[in-house]
Amino acid sequence: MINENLKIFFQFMSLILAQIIVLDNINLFGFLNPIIYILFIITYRFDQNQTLFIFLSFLLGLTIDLLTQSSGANTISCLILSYIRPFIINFSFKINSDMPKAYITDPKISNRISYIFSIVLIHHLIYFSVVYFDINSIILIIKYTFLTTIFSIILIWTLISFYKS
Amino acid sequence: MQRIINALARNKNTVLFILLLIISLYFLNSRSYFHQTKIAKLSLSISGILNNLSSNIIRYSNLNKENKLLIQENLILKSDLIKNKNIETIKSKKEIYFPFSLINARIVKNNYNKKENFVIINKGKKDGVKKEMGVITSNGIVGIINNVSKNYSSIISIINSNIKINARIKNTNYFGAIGWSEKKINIMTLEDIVSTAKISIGDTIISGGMSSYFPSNLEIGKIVTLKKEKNEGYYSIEVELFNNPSQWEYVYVIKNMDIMEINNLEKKN
Repeated sequence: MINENLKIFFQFMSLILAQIIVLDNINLFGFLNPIIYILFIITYRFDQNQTLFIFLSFLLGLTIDLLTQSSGANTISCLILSYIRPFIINFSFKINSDMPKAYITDPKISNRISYIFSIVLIHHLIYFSVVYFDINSIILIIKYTFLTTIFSIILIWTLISFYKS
Repeated sequence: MQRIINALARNKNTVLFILLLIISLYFLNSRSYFHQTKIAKLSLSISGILNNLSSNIIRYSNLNKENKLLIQENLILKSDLIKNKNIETIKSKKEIYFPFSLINARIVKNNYNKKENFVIINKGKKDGVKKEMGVITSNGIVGIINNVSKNYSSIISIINSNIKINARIKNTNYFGAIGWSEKKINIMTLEDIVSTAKISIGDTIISGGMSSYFPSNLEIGKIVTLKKEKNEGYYSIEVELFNNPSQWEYVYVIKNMDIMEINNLEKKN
């Protein structure tokens, strides 16, 4: 149990550091910054404590927001994502989130793609909606959401494969 | 209390989520001026809609009371107006004497599709209504009271073939008798205007004041057709009422304080 918590803490810190030090300075094509800290939300075990998970996600978003001097978009998107994650799991794997040992690396590849894609897309959509926060910028929000989603998924997929091997 | 705590414990994830969401929104609000103005605008428009809704509901429930107040006010204004009109016409006289007062009433039943039409109002003997009082609306004449019970009164409407009312053409001295044409609900005929009179279509007809029922200078209608009959010394005039009888609702009963005196005089003759 202590080992598990240490692993979560280590993942938490490394993802934050990677996001702040490396990824926020990429500026691909001038505006694309892939977001990988949601790897924490993706890989958090399904059978773990949900309440703690919501709180940790909130803390994750808050830390990122404080360290990158952004207004609060990361906090809100992480929080909402952590709350709706059981529904996404249910939708992607057609299983109950209470089911033990249903870890991300085990099931079929189509389920995994659907899961990761939904989480990244929803996170980015909420994130850019909060950043622009204006109904007139809807085209801009959709454009950024899709472009950033593509790069984030490529990165996250690579990291998961790396982690698995 | 126990049940509330149980419910909270069962939904602790949702409660925590909502709590943290509120905190993060507050965080967002306090950190970014852009979001602050946007959220302020949003909350203003929502509160505007809600306030408007609630005030509409409150206003609707107060409508009845408001209506009564307005009628009361109207009553005062109307009696002042009639008084004023009379003052204007008798400016030369030093003493102003106005023997009429008003009682407001609401129409309970209004006949307008028969040959002899009657109107029933919700004021009766109890409110001081008596037989042979005149009844007017804000913009015309309704008729004369012919029957009074304790709480209600019936009126011979002006769209009744049995009634003729003394009338005058405004700004002239031609008097006539106005009565229902029996053709259309809002068309009256004006008789006894000599064909030498200089009048034209569109002239306003007002009450003549040569009866104890109505004060003078109440507007009734306007001339719509004007014909000279052959071999007769009189015009045949059709007058359109300003107030369509089918739309009467609130009326005023005119109380002539001098009616006893006038009646006594008439009896002596």
